[in-house]
Amino acid sequence: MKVEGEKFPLYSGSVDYWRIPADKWSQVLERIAGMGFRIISTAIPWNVHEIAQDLFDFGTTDKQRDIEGFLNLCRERGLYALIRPGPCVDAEITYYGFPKRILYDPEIQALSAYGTKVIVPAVPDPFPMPSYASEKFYEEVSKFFDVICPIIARNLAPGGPIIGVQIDNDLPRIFMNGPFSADYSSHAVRWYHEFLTSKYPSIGGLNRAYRTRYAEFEEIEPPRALATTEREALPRYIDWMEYQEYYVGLALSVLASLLWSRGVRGIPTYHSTRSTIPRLPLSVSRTERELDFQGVGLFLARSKYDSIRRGALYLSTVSRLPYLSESGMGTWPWGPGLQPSDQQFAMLVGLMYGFRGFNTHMLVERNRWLGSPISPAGETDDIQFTFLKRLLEILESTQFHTLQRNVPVLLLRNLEYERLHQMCNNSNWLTQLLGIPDDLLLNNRTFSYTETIQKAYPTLWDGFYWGLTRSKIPFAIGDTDMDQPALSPYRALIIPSFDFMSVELQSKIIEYVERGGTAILGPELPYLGTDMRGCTVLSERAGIQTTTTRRPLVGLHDPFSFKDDKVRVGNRTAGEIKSLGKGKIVYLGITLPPTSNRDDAIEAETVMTKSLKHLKLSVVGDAQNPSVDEIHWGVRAPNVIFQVNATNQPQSVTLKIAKRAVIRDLWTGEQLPQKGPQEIELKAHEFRIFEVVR
Amino acid sequence: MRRLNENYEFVAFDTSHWFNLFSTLPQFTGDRGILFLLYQGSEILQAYHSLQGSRPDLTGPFSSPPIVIEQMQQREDVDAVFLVEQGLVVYLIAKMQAAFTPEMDIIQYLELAQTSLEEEFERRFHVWPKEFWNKGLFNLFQRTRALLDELPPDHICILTVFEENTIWASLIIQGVDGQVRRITTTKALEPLGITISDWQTDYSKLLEVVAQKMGTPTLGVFTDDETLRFLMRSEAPLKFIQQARRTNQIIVEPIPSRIRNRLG
Repeated sequence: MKVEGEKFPLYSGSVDYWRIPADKWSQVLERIAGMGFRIISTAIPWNVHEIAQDLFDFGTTDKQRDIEGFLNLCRERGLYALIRPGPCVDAEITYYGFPKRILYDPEIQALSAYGTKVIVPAVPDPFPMPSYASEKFYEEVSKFFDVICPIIARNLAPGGPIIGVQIDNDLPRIFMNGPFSADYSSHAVRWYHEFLTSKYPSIGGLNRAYRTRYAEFEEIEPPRALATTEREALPRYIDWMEYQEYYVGLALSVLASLLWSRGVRGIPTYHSTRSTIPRLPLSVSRTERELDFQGVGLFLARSKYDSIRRGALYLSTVSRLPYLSESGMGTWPWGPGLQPSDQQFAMLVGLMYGFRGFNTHMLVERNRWLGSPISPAGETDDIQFTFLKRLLEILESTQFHTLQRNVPVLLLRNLEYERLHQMCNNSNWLTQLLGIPDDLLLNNRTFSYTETIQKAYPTLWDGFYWGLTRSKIPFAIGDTDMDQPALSPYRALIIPSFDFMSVELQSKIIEYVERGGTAILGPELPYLGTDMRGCTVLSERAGIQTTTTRRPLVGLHDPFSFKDDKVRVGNRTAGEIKSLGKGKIVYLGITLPPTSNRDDAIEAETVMTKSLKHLKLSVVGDAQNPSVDEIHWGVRAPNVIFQVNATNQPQSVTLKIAKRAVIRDLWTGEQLPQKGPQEIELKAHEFRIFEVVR
Repeated sequence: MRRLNENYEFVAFDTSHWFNLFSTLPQFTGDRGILFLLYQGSEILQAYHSLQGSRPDLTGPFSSPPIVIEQMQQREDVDAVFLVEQGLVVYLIAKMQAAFTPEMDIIQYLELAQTSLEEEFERRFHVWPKEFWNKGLFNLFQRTRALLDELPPDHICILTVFEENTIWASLIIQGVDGQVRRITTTKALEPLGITISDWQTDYSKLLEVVAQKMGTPTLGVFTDDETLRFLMRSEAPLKFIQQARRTNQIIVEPIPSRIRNRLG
């Protein structure tokens, strides 16, 4: 962030002024500043300030609602503020910040495929989800924004403390019940038609893709269930999935424009989701076309180390500012049972893998939240308070937010297959509550493809991911929405590819390779576009024949190798390497054994290392111990080194550093006894952060 | 029916107490695993083993649900088999959403799921052994609702679980105007420095402190963590409580007359 000429990292903490007695605000803010924070984050719930219909209180009748008084105190203590005017704030407040009258207005409610209201199963009171396509919804939101925006506008930086605004919270929640669950209100169907109009230049183009004869877009009924087994019928269903991304993006755009038109401008805008790995229909690239950045939450135990790692590797690649908008400290009472040690571990893993900013949520405890570092009376919890204070000191002393790292390989999430997966995925909050496994509810139709892509894709992707993890070659995670300039810094792309792929994506891969990159694809080379008509741009340009024969399984008895630019599995040929322009395409027509962790990934590691061998990439960390992960921050040589034992067993590793370098443990301040390589003992799930002094 | 107040508060919480209490919730897991089958008509579409993952070899035509699940449970040597009709969950959610009223709290809403599932039990949803399905979370909702309905309108209830002679988990519920409104743990009582040398007699100190700080308790339940875990997994909880009270593994004091009548 650059505010009033000064640059500083986005490290903040949540405090809900409206839940803390006003006479305690000062003491609480003192504590926050004393920890080393320079920014707070606070929700401004509509239903706290609307005390009767169209009647608002900002401290006249209740001092606890005096948002401007609170902001003034922030300013006096040198604290900046991120504000969250919603309209949905979640915050465990009943109705998530919406006035009840809004939720029960039939003109505002979202509708399910069956014409019922869409009920959010919230504690203590479930409520009908509003339709973000409803015009009346925005008319009502505007009334709240009419009164809150002047307060926000006169407190904007420079001059005021407000330096950022979060717009809504977890907006894709509306689609929580499944791929064909919402929103079928008349307003939303109108948005659906607008989406189709924007995607297809004419109704003829849509008819070609759908194999239909519609006269105009308005005739098209949104699908209410997956009612086909034919791949030719899939484009309309895939469009329905993409429409949900459009819905989220458009709703955020409308809300942002309502704020902008009321003088809330010139500061960054963002959206937040509680999930650590954003899933469709939340598209980071689409959100960041409308807002400045997309944040994620982190409420995971140390046993979910890998999910934290994936989330950080992904957001740090695709987001303008990889931001932990809710880095859990404590939890809501019906939330996950996380101990302080879990949350500290999670936060460090998040920073290790690339989150560049965080918001401690909640920094100050309040009703319906437990386990925060600071109590509403301004008292402190020693464990969490001391941890955060020390962490901020370390981040400041190393100028961590300015450090970069070398990452030569990019593993791409193929969003085209993820849309197919989303369309076939019938799990939701109720199935999770009932304990029904997600895998059981994933539709297993093949749609006449070579295999069941919605099942094969995540399995293959996991294989690539674990193979790379074991190889210790530094890699990032991106997605297929990334544009050419974002792809070009990477020396290799790894992209699962099956029977279909859009012509745009096929062309993007060709361009990347021709400019000198290596693209590793497979197990199929696409022969269809996303309209399910023939499209062989990639295979033709590369001069590779796609295989329709049964793909060999890589295993101990059928090892993977390259011979004369041919991929071999045992004695069978299963792919090839082709030069194209300045780069290469590596086509892997293979099957990997199912891989759910690094121990299973021996074959996958072989596939990855051999496919990348011609690039002569360096590994980072102790190649002899696949259970310890190491990340170096610093481009020419490491300035800061993270090491983490990803297992629940003690591990021993060698930390290889230049002979003249001295290593200091940043957490304890201890200087390691000798220069150069060091033997490090790590307890189960232990974390070390070292500074390298030359 | 008693409901949660929309403005209820969680105050003065102790994280570890609360999560210790949560950890006693029974899970749908068994040592031998659970087999889940998704079917449509007379065909098993998908099969998933909780320990082994996907089991495509178990898909295909089958004769009738009662026979197939019993045979599968024996053949696969699993703790239980769940047979779920494709589309049931979509139907359940549609039914719950249609039946939703603005007066419902979350417990009542989830009870709709429970009721709807019961209606479909042995029609579109089959479990073998039959007793297995009712061990989970929904059973807890039912018990919670039943307890809330038994309490006097303006109740103060305390549940304390001991481990050795330390307080391992504690929960205090306060009713106001006939609704459940305020929930806290013993963290609010910590400054008073209660010492426990024998919980089966010193529990009365907690009752005294609650009486001083919050008002006279209506119901007090005191037990140890091991007994609570057994209780949560018991298939006959009433009988279990009756037996445990006789050996002082569960102490209920004070006890409202309606609850006394039920416990016998």
